Amino acid sequence: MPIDKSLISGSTTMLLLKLLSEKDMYGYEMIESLQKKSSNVFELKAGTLYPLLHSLEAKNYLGSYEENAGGKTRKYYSITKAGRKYLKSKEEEWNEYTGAVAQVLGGVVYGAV
Amino acid sequence: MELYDYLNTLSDQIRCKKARPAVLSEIKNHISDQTEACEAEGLCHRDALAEALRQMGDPVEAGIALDRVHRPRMEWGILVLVLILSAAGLVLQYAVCQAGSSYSNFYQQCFYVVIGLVCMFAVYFLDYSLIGQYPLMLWLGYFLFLLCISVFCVIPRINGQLRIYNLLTLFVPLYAGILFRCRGGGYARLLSCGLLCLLPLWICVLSVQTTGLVEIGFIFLVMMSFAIIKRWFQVSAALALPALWGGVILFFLGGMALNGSLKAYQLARIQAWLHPGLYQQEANYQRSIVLQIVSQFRLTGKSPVAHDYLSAWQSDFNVTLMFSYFGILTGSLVILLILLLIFKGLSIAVRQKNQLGALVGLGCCLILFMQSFTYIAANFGIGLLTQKTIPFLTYGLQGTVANYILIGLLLSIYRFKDILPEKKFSARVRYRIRIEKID
Repeated sequence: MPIDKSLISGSTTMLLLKLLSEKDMYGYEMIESLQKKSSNVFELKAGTLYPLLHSLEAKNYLGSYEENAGGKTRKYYSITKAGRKYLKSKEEEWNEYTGAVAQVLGGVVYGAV
Repeated sequence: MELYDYLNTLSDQIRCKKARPAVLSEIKNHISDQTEACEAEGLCHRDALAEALRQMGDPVEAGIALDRVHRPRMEWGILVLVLILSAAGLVLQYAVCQAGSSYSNFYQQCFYVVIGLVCMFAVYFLDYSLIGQYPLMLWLGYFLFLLCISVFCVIPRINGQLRIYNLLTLFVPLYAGILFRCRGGGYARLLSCGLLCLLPLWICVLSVQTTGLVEIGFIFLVMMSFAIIKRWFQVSAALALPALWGGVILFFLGGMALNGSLKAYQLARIQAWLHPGLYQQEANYQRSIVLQIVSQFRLTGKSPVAHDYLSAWQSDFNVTLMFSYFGILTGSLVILLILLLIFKGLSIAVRQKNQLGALVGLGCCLILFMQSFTYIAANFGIGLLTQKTIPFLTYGLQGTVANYILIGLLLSIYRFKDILPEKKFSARVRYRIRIEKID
C-alpha cells in the first residue's frame, strides 16, 4: 500500500547512509537498491536523491570519486568516518522512535534496542 | 518534456554557473542509465526517455534543492577577524605616529588598508582555480616581472637590499598551481617542480632577501612534501622525501664548502646571536634595547621605557611598541587574534575536498605564520632572521596589499568549497603504434 511521504522523507538520509555503509554506489544504483530492498515501498526520485547526496557530501558525511564504466563516467559515493558516526546516531534515534510508536500502538517490539 | 528542456530548467535554478557542469553531467548520466533500464523492459528509446524523465521528478524542485547546496559561501569568522585586526593595526599606527609627532604615515596606512581590502575582495570573488589552470604562465610571468624589478632597480635598493619580500611571498600560492599541474607525473616531473622553485629563490639572492630565501624555500619544501605524501606523483614517498630534504641540506653544505669560510660580517652576526649579552654597542645594540624595553612591559597600560634609541622603530618593531604602549594583555590579545585567523585558514585548507584549494590554503597559511613568527621573535629580541612585516600591524603598501591578497585567497577557497569539484588526475596514458605483417 502507498506510504505517507512524510514518513519516508525523514528517514531517507539514514537509508542512503546505510546502503553506502555496505558498498560504494552511484546514484542510479542507490535508487535501484533501495527499491529492491524495500520491496518497492521506497521509490526515491532522482530529483530528491542528488540534492541529498550533495548535501551529505558538503557536510563530509560522504566522499565521492569518478570511475569509467562502459564508456560512461560514473560518480560513486562512499561513506566517511563522520558519516558512519552520523548513521549510528540516526539509527539510535530511529530505534527509539519506533520503540515509542510500538509502545503507544500496543504490541511486542522485536529487535528494538 | 524533452531531455534538453529538463536539463535547462534544472540548470537555471542553480544560480552559481561554475557548479552547473558537474551537476548536469551527473544528472545526465543518471537519465541515461534510467533510459537503458526502461529500454531493457521493452520500451522504445523515445518512450524510455520520457519515462526516465518522468521518474526524475520536478526539475524546478530538484534545481532549487541543488542550488541550496552549491552556492558560494563567505567565511564570516575570518572576515570579522580581518576587520578587527585592520582596525587594531590602524590604532597602533596612530599611536606610533603620535609618538613621532607626524600623522602622514597614519593617513597613508588608512589608504593602504582600503586598497588592501579592495584587493582581498577582488581575489575573493576571483576563481582561485585559475592558479591551477594557468600555472606556468602565471609563474613565469610573475618571475619575469620581479626579475625586471630586481635587475633594473625599479624600487631603490637600501644598503644593497631590494625590499620586495612581500612581493616574493606571492610565489607561494602560485607554486601550488605548479605542483597541481604536475600531478600524475613521476620523478622527472617532481624534479622539474624542484627546478622551477629555484627561480624565485634566485630572485631572493639577487635582491639580498635572506629572510625570504629561508622562509619561502622552506615553504616550497613543505608543499612538495605534501604533494608527495598525498600521492600526487607516481613516486615512492619513502624514497622521494629523504631525497628531497637530504638533497637540499647537501646543496647548502656543498655551497658553503665551495664558498670557503663565512665572511667576517656573517660570522659576527652569528656570534652576536649566540651571545646576546655581548656586542651591545655593536651588532647587538638593537637587540639589547629591545630586551630592555621588553623587561619594562606592564600588564596593562604604557611602559616607562622610551623607544627613541631603537632605530627603525616605526616599521621594524611594531609588536614591541604595541606591547609597550598598550600593555601585555592587549598585545597578547592582538597576537592571539592573528594566530586564530591563521589557524582558521589552516582548518579551511585541511578540510578542502579540492586538492588545489588545500595546497593553496596551506601555502598561504604557512607564509602568514612564518612572517608573523619571524617578526614577533625579533620584536622580543630572540630572532635570527631579519623581521620584515606582520599582517595588519606593519606600515607599508607592499606588505599590506600582499597579506590581504593571501587572506583573500583563503576566503576564495572557502567560497568555492561546495562548487568546484575535485578533478581526478589520471596517470599519463601512453600509446604505441605497431606495424604488423599480414600473411
